Amino acid sequence: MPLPSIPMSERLFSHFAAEHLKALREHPSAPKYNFESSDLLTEESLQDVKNFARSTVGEPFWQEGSLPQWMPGFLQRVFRQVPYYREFGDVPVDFAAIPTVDRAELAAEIERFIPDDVKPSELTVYFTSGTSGDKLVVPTEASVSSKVLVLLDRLAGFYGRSLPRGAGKVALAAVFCQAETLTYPSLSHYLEGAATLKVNLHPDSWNKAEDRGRYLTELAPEVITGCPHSLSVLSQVAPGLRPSLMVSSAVALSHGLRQELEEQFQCPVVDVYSLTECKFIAADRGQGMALLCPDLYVEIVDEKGRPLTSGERGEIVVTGGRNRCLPLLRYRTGDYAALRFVGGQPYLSDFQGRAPVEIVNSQGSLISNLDIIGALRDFPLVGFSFSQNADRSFLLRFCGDCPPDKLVEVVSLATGLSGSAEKVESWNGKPQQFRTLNEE
Amino acid sequence: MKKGPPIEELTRHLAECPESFLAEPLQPNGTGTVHVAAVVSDLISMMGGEPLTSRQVKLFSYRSKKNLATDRKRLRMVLVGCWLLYNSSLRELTEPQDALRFLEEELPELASLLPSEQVVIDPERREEFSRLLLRTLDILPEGEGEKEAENRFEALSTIKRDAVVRAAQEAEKRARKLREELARKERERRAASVYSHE
Repeated sequence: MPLPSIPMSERLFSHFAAEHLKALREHPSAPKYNFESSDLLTEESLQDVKNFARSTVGEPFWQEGSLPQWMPGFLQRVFRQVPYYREFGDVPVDFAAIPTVDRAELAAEIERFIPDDVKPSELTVYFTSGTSGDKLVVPTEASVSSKVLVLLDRLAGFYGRSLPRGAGKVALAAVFCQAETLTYPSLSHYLEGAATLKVNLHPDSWNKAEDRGRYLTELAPEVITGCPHSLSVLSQVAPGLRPSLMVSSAVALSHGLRQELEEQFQCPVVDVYSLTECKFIAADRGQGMALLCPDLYVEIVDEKGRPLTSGERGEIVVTGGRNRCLPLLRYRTGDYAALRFVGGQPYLSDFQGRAPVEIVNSQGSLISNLDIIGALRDFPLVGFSFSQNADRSFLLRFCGDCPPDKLVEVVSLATGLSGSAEKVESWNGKPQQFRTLNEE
Repeated sequence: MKKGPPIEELTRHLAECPESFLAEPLQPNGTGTVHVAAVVSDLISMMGGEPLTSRQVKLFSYRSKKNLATDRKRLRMVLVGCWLLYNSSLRELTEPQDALRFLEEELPELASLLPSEQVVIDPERREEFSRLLLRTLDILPEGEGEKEAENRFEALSTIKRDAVVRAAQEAEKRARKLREELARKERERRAASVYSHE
């Protein structure tokens, strides 16, 4: 059954931009695009995106130990307009007394998290499913997606680059590699008519496998976004690409793969921490995961939701109204890190995308997962999962171009455990996974 | 029925509720500042009663994480209830067990219908709250007969109940509409273009 197409944005693009879009679809090496899409921006929401670019991005962050200045107004709005929070009565004076909420709680009654002043017709929808398996339908306002372009532009700015603007340009390619996903070329109002592509590198998505490299190399997108797996595939199918910037998100990028991609594509490769619920949160610019924009307040909490002090490791919790349809208030991400301030810039350090699992050595003493991550950090791994058996031996499943016996050797050296390694061809989910037999 | 102070004295007392009685009850995770059971225990002792038993302490604490919102509203209402019971004219007329009955049995339902700050800032809710207490303590406001006091209380609580029912119906209607809209957008894949992985 053909997928339904959605109408273009309410705002029209120039004739030249529309012709460019048509050409991207009809290119002799074009993929088998399966969808039509647009940024869905109206005059008003485009203005919202421009305001975000002008006045929010680049503002100073909150000071260590205090709340951002926008917080009181945000809390008033949430406690007044969001049914779930209205149930709690008035706004607590102590921010930490606001209960945290996790993905499962959000998923269970998502409509109660949508503010009263959001019209049902305004809603757009994204999906997400985490390692916890809780599928979440994320009500989103259209401008949130374009705010990603603003943050990408800011990231590019750190390296002296920028997203190109104007009709006829290909500003960005979002590169996926999975059995099935929606694919389309699209135009951006924020980028003044420049095009963006969403492509799937899976061979079934193309008429000929070699079209993948041909199409992308010829169109030469300025910025490429992907995940470690899709970028790794890209390095094989389009080695001649020379973008200004590559951004990897969804799961953490290993140090080794990042280095390999940087050498291959001769451009900075930035690992970004992002959630469907609020998009980009932080980016690794060499000194750790630097928070990207002060419109999202980030704190680190313990199991009970109590805030931890600077440098203490715990769960990452975000608060903010970047997505007006789903304001997040002390939202538990399920990811773990410590927060540190350096010269007014907050960083997430010791970042790990899931709860620590207790791995023990042959004497039964705990081994830090970070030791295993450290031992493997220089290998070009797309992802790995470390499982410990009841007899304390390990099985390392990995995706990446590495000799298994070498990986076993370094992990054994770091842990004092014996084990084996098994290579897999593709990788889905978190790039660093730890399990013990009890969890299986 | 005992004769009590005029209703205006009680509503004025409520309007002057200090910040400390509107502070955050201590939560199971240690956040918050007020130990509600301790406030209740002090009040009951001041009225000549025994300190709270451990069963009663539990009644004036958070019960479970699942009921955080319900418990918070109930405990905050109890704090405001304690403040009203501190009124000097009332204190002399109130038996400790009656005060406990008011805090324990009468307030949970009211707390489920409106937030505690409403009984401090909204004149009608102040009056309703004061009358609810007098009714529980079997006290008549000064200058009012039994029938008049009862009618006045009923009128106030009916208006509130109707408003609460209307609001609940509206909320359910909107929730249904939102669920339908999300399902429709999910089928249509209605979302702005994607520029990155999440």
